[in-house]
Parts: sequence; structure tokens; C-alpha cells
Amino acid sequence: MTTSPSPTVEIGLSEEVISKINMAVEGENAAVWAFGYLLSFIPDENKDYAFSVFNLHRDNRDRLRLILRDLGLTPPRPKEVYEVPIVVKDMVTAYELASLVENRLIGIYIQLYAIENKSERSETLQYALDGAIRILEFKQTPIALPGSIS
Amino acid sequence: MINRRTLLASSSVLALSACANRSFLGSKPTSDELLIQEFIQRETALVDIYFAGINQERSFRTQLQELRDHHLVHLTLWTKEVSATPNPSPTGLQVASITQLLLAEEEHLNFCKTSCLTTNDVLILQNIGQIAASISQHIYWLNKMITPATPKPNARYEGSDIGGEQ
Repeated sequence: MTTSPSPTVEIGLSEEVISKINMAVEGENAAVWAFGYLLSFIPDENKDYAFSVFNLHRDNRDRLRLILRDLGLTPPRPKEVYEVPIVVKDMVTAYELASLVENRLIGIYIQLYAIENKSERSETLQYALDGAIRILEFKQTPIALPGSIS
Repeated sequence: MINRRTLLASSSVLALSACANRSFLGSKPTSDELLIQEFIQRETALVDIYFAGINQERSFRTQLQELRDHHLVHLTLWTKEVSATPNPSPTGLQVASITQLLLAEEEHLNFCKTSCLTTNDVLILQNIGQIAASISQHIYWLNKMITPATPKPNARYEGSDIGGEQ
């Protein structure tokens, strides 16, 4: 039996960037969980949109996980349950939680884009900008500095 | 209550105080310092256009004041590390439509997107990112203001003979 040589991992990203990508995966894991949790409180006319946002966060998470796997790294696993700062009991609190999740992710993506190479910055920044629009889609008003956690 | 005069005076003070933090006076500004200076000028001009917009669009006064105040918050982002000269660029506009505000915001968003490729300063990039996210929201909101609400497909109209329950 022959054994294949252990794969050599070529780390093309700095540790700082990898740490932020890990943070983004954790954020997207939390977002997927949160949207699964709040989806049943969203009224029927907006359910399709909320479900599309759920799918979008799942896709983003998978894309980021793939980047880590390509580097030979193990992405962070999702938790079984997350502590939510807002107890969802109706449509209003469901939208509040959705906006809070989006705002936290904006902060993470802005931290990530700021340390990335120029070639990757625009794409990561766009994730933050799209998140800012989603906050308004969830019936919230504009924020002076999206991504800030107060 | 903020008025134009206060704004222009305060932006000058902000820029001057920023200059005082680092002794750039007399030395040639770096590209990052010039970038920050440009941001201060553009944000000041945007606030000025919002004053004009609030004059014209009375029915959206509260919303426009809120957006203008966001730009004042954006200005304060640059004060701790800035090397700007006190050079606000008032537009001189007395009135402005929402479409003009929209165009100004879109131009600023484009400037943010191109500027983030011209610097490697992490703090500047974070500021630009947050400002760009805020401006995206402004554009979305301003578009909502000028877009008439579309009725739902199953909406019933008074006097309509379609879908009426007899």
C-alpha cells in the first residue's frame, strides 16, 4: 500500500485576514440560525424575501468556509443554540433581530475588507453595503454608522 | 438647532483641530491626508445640499434632517487623525430637490468605492466602509421618497366594479 504525501498547504492569506474570515463564518452561522428562528414570525407577504435572505446567508457562509477549506483550515462549526439579545415574540421583534444580525455582519465585513488586498476589497465591501439595504427592508430606519455595535 | 453658518464654522474648527493634532503645517500632505481632506469637503458639501433640500422638500423635512445629521456624524469620523485645511465647499444652493440629493449621494458613494482602493490605512478604510454603508441606505430611502407606492395586485378601489362583493 502506498501512502500519499501529506498535502502542503500554501497559506496565501495573512493570519489577520484568516482570523476575520473565521469571524465572518461565525457571524454567518449565527445569521443562518437567527433567520431560521425568526422566519415563522415574518408575515406571509414578506416571507419569501426573508427566506431569500436566509439562503443568502447560508451561501455566504458556505463560500467563506470553502476559502478556509482551500487553505487546509477547518472552519468554525455552528453552535446548536445561540443566545439572542432580542426575544422574538412577534413581527416587530423578528424584524429587530434580523436588523441586529445584519448590522453585526456589516461590522465584521467592514473589518475584513479593511485588511484585505485591493483586489478583494470591493467584493467584501459590497456584502456590507447589501446588508445595510437589508436593514431598511426589515422596516428599520437608516443608521448614521452601520456596523457599529452600541 | 444647526444652521448653515454653524456647520461651516464647525467644519473649519474640526479641520483646524485635526491639523493641530499632528503638526502637518508646513509639510507636504500625504495621499491619505489629502483623501481625508477630500472626504471632509465632500461631506460638508453634502450637508449643505441637505440644508437646501430641507428648504424645498417640506413634506420630507424630518427624514431629510435625519439624513443630514448622519453626514455630520460622518464628518466627526475624520477629526482624530485628519490633516485637513479649513476649506469647506459650500454649494451656494438655496433649494434642492430630492433628485439632486440622490445624485449627490450616488456620486459620494462612487467616490467611497474608488477611494477604498487608493489607501491601505485600516482606520481610513473602516471609516469609508461605514460611510459607504450609510450612504447606500440614504440612496435607498431617497429613492423610496420619490417612488410612488405601487398598489398590491389584489387592491380594491372605491367605485371599481372589479372584485366587488355584491
